[in-house]
Amino acid sequence: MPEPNLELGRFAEPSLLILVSLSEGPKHGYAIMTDVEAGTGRPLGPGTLYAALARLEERGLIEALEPVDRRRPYRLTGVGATVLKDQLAHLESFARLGLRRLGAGPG
Amino acid sequence: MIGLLLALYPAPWRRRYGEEFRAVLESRPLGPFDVADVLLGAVDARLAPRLAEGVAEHGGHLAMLRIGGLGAIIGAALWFIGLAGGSNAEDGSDTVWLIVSMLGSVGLLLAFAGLSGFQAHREPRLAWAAFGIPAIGTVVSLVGMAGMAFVPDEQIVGTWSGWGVWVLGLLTTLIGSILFGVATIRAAVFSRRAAIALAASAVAVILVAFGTTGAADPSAARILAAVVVAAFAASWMALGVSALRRGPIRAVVPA
Repeated sequence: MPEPNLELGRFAEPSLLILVSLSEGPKHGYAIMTDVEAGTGRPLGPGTLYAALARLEERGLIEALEPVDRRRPYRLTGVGATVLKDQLAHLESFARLGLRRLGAGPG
Repeated sequence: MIGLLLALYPAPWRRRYGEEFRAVLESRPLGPFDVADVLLGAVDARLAPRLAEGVAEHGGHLAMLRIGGLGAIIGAALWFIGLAGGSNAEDGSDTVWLIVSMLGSVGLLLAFAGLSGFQAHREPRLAWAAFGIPAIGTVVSLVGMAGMAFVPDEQIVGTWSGWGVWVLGLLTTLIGSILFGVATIRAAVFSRRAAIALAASAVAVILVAFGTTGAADPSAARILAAVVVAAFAASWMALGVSALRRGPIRAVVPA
């Protein structure tokens, strides 16, 4: 989950999914939406997508590129990559802790 | 339908995202989930109108970052080359080196402005305080160098010759660079190592300059001065590289 100081509120989870999607290269809005949906199996609505994109862009975690036709690609910035790495590492250790507890708990 | 949904968003938001958002909405048939999601998005955009306006501001910060990073790398290199070339040139044949050094100073001025502008996002008061002194020093040293290059034997400010003005400007720049290094360490935006090296090398340049005046072994003093000045320039370049590395990159997280 994104760091609390990013103050992404209810857009924290979609923001993380968007950052992961952009970690393999620049994508425009629709491509991000379909990539996230394919990766998670859950829909990402256009309203949520752009609310999260605006927040990520404002915080300098992603950057807009020149539009191609009407579609504007976005890419991860260096700051965004660092934040994403930190958050994924945090999630990984949290998941390990949960799995360990499940394994150690009563069956 | 799409036009109606878009109209629910505030005008600044539509100006920034309208076209691409429309393209996304037109990419597939809109279901009830999408419509509800867009309605909530419009409410959010109205509750947080600063978002669309803040994006342009942040784009400015990234531009500052690039200008500052390039200014630091190119400026420090030119400044050092000009200084080294000028110190080895015969009397009266150092104008070209002075001009190179002046161009380097302009680059460093851009670095002070650009990097401070970016750091000001995190530590506004400290960053701008650390910008003011070195920037003034760099401008003063530029005036001094211009004096040395174009009116070498004349007093350009009161009783001060170009050389005197340059030394005053350089000293101010060095003191400002120490402050700038401290501000950079505090802001933790750029490389801490480069910031520490910048502050330390600026201190070393001042100590060597004053400590070796009238030294018994001028050639040893000259080598020592060259080493600390080179370290100062290299620190600026390292800071510039670290600033540029904060810019956009394609992919950083292994699959």
